[in-house]
Amino acid sequence: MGFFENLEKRSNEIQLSLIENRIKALTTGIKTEAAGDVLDNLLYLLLNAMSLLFMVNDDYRKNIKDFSGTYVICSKDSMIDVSAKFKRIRVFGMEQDGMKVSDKVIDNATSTVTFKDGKAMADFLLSGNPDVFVGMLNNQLSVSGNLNYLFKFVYLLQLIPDMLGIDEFQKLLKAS
Amino acid sequence: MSNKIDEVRNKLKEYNPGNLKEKLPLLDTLLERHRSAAAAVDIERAIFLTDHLKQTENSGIPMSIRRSQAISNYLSGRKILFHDDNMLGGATTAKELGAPLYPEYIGLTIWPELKTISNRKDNPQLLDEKDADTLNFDVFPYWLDRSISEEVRKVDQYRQSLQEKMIIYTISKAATISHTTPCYELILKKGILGILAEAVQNEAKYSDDEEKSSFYHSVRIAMQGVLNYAANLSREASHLASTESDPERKKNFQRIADICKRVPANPAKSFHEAVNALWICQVCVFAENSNMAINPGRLDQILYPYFLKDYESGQLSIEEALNISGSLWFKIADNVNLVPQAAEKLFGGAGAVPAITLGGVDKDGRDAVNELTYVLLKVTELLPIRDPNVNARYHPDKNPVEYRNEVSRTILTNKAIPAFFNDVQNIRTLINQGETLEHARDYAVIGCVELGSVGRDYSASSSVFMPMYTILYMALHNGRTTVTGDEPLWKATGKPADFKNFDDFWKAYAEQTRLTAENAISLNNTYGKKHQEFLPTPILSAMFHGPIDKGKDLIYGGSIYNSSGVTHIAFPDVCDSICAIKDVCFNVNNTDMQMSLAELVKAVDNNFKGYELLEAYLKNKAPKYGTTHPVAAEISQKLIDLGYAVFNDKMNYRGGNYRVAYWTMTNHAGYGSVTGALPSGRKAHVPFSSGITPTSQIETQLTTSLDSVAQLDSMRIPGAYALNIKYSPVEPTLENVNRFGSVVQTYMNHGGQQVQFNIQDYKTLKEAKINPDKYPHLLVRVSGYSAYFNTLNEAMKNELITRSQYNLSSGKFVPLQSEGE
Repeated sequence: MGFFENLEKRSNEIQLSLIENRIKALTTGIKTEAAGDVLDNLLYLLLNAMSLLFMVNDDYRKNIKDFSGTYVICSKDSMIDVSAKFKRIRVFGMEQDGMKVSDKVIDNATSTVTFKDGKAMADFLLSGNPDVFVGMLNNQLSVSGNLNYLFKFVYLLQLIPDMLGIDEFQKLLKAS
Repeated sequence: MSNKIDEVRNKLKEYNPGNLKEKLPLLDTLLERHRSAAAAVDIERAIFLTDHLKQTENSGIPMSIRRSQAISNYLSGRKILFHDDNMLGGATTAKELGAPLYPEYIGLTIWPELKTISNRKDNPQLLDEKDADTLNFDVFPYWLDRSISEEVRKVDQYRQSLQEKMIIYTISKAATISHTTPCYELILKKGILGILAEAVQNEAKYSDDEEKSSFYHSVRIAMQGVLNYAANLSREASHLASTESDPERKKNFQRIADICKRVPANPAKSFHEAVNALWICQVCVFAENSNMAINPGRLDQILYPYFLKDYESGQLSIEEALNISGSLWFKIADNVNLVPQAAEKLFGGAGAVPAITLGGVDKDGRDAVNELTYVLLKVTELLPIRDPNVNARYHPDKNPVEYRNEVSRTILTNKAIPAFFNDVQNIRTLINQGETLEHARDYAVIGCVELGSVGRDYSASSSVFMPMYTILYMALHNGRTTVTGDEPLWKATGKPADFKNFDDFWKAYAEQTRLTAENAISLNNTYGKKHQEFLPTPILSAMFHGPIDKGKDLIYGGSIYNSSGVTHIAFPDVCDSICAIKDVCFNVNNTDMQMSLAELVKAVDNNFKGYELLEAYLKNKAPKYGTTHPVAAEISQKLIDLGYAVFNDKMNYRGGNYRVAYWTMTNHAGYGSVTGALPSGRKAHVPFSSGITPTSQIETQLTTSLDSVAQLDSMRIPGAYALNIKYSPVEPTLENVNRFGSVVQTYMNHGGQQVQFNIQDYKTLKEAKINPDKYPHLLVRVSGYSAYFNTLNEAMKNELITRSQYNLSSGKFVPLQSEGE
């Protein structure tokens, strides 16, 4: 292996290690946030963790192969404004499927979810069994745009606890 | 009654639920097996459909042909399995009890549940990891932007988003092409080969007419799929016969092989062939359309010639007729709907509701009750299973009392099935809808309770669900709803303080009804147009009168009649609420309770907190539908008239009209559990009353309650209604049976359209809720169909428990607390 290959390998290892550390930090952040009273930052942490997991977990990334979709998740009280965009991104110098998270709302999202407030959002995200229709029926959330994309997103969300080493999301809420 | 009918009835007396194991061991075994089968998601059709559409995506082939090819491929290539000793070949899915997944409709709603659906609390449906992965990676992504709801969103985002608010209106076309009764008689007489020949001939004849030739071409492809499916059934049954060592089983497989080799390709020659041909056709209709309320129809009429010939010639014994018919019952029950967990909350426990209709009059107006009617009633008595949904038409002037009493005895025995339908009213009602006398007489029940001429009316009878409580809320809140913000949804129609008299309020209510109807119709018609574009129905079309002659698919208006149905949720509660408004807010003679409408609305919005006296008055003293109170009679008819006025003359996308109905499935319980209080005194989150059934626990005589329903003008309820009555259990003695039948007949003579029963008491149902394991197969009547009590959601169980119970002998109301509750 030549110098540059070695350098690239070492660089990738460092980046991977940084990402893994970042995921660990986010996991701690998610736990802390969920156990607290103010839950407005929870979604942002979760999505960031999701985004990093797509980078490093090949199996998880298979779920978004060639997938493009944009999501806006916000709350009626304007305390939460997050967007996620699925697109090709560069990771370790290679282009692959991924997700970009932003704390800004983007126009023309494929699917927009508006929660009543941070509590409603946390109840939904961490329920262990998020149900879009029940959320709508109970006035906890409203959706505009393509519902199928939202179903997919909820599915992707449910795969996260395992990868973060959290038994069940719901248990986090019980502690709060 | 003819001697032959007497002879058959006498033979049938040998059989009862207690001796099923001894007398009809096959049916007993199938019953046990059916009861132990766990529902499983079946994705085979979804894979075939998705693969074919992917492969032909840019082929330039019209969608009608692509879809027909896809369904034909599925029928030709699907797995052939025989799970048990059933005497018929064919199955809805590859699972013993299958929930087929239709990705073009609402299949993707289970995406979030792929990992959990097998273990969910309410009615789990098994899905293995491999199938879940197939859905996640291969099937669902294709449909992300292509499911029918998303196609509709592309052209009417506003109304589609309102549908997703769940409580404004529901358009069931998002989930289904269904709620109709094909003419299976056509297939039994002509055979699929006969239909195929007509399609080939017409395709050539209309080769210069692109639309017609394309339709005939799609029928040709689809019919070939049906033929291939039957041939594969025959081949596999033959193979199993050759390897089977048990002589009885070997014989059964060989018989199925022989039958499926002949039918439905050719006209049926025997009863057994006719039954199996009909079933294969039903399976093929499910392959094309979703498994929801596609109805076998008037089985005692269409199968009768085959039964009679075989019975008279000695080729068919009563025992064999019961076994073959019972086998059909289990086949019909081999599928359930796939629904997301939220829908379980609203529709939980529903089967696929395929309705079978017995009795009544024939096309010439003569008594249609025959030997087979009694055979099928006996099967209904012996097999208390959720599906099929068996219904008994009764014409008091034409059908014998013996038939009325046999239906009554069956209900008292199995405690739920069948429902009674009044031929006199229903035929009049259908004629008023423009059907000919002959066609109206040949009506069958659709799904829950709806009416339609067999194979002549693509009735789409569950097209629109109208939540009346939302309309009332809008009328009382200046056009706002609880889910669409602070601005009026359609139009500001005044605040409560603005209404100077009852007429002012009524005008607001009527206007909100009209506007909701207008928007619901608009969205339903958009869905219909998208169905035409993406979901043509060559198989269903081939089994109707009209499409093959006109060269037009059913969903383009190929049928003779082309109605759509609109049902209403919470009629009794809204009726009581409007009565209360009139009584408390606008009745100057009311000395007990007077209040401004603004104050009443405030009390209701606070769920009567601080208004306990008002709540007590509303519950106990305000006029109630189901009593003799003149205000209740006036308001109930006013509401019926309004529903008819806003819908009946409106045109759907096929050129037909909208027929109003009042049945609720389990929606009244589900929606009630998420809805606020009402001016009737009903508190928040309490289930609404079912169908058109007066509110429970109003102390009144049964006859009073029945009369209040019978007095409604059924000509203005062309889609029919569901009336639920609960009787304390009694033995089916001659006296009780006769009394039961007499009550039904009197109700019909007074104008009642339909009635169905639960023969249960409060105590048993309460016990069943607490100890479900003690009552694993308790069958109950919900609102138009039957369900296993244990599979219902809590709100629905509570609604069933608290339904008014009456004593059959006295007709008196049994209060909920009187049984030591």
